[in-house]
Amino acid sequence: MVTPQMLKGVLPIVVLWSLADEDAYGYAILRKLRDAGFGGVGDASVYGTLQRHHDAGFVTSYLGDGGQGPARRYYTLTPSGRLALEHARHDWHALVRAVSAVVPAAEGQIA
Amino acid sequence: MSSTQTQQARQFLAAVEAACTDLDPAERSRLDGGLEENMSELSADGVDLTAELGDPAAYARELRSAAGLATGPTVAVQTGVLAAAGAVAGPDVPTVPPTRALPLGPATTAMPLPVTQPAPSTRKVLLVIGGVLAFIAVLVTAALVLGVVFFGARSDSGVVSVTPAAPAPVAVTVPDLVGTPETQARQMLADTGLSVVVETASSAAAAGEVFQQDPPAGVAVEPGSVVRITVSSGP
Repeated sequence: MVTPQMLKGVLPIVVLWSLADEDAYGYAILRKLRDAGFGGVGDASVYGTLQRHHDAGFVTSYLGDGGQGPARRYYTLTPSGRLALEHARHDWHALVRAVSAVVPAAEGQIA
Repeated sequence: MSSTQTQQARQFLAAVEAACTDLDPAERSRLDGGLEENMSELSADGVDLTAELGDPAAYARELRSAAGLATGPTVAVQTGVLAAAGAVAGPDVPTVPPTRALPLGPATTAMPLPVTQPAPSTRKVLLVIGGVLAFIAVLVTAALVLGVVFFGARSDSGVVSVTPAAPAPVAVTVPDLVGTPETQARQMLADTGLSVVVETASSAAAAGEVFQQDPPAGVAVEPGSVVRITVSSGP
């Protein structure tokens, strides 16, 4: 499972990443992350992270058509957000390489 | 949104606001905006608010942490943190400096650093280990030197103890002295650690040459034992 501390570390990246292909509203991102395996991610984490990205200028938002019921706020990546995503992708792979170098790949190696 | 849900939403909102009274109004309003957005979308997607959002205080902490704000009233609110993209995610990771260049949380800004180069504390530990190893090496060397000196001294004294009259528990072999000149025989016995008694007798052997010995050659005797030799005085 993804521990809360791990989640806290990767959440900014995965939230940004989840907007790479299409605009999305907060709760849709949350569902996407939970489906992907981040079972423990809370609402507040996703909405808080979106705010932070918005403050940083990595995303902008617009009110989209909610169909039935209230409108939903959709987030879209800005050019600087896409640049940040590229940096994040690079950093992430560096981290994975480094962790893989010290953590055994197969299970059952730890007595 | 049903009236029950609206009621729940109001209560939840009020509870979260209560947990954010230490923030300045602009920050609080932003967080409220996020929460209202959250509740509105839950409602639109038909999700039960109470089950989804849980405890308001915990929600407030999580929201503040994720938004890059201090997570509790006891922690001073960082001014300018609204604009700082990579602000501290929570009070438990205080070493991560706010940075605008990298927006991403502790994983990207903090973690690669200790991976690519040893942290100062690691270096300190390595230095200490190196010091300890060096100290152990010095001790081992000193012990070896002392051991060599000590056992060397012992073996020297052992050699010395062979020559005196005091019998050591080591046997020596009587050399073959027949046919050797008297002086050489004396020297050989002295070298072996044996005493000598010399007699002279007339024999067919050349004058001054040993022609008899007792005990005979090859017998093992105690160091310091007497070997009797008979030197020829000529025919």
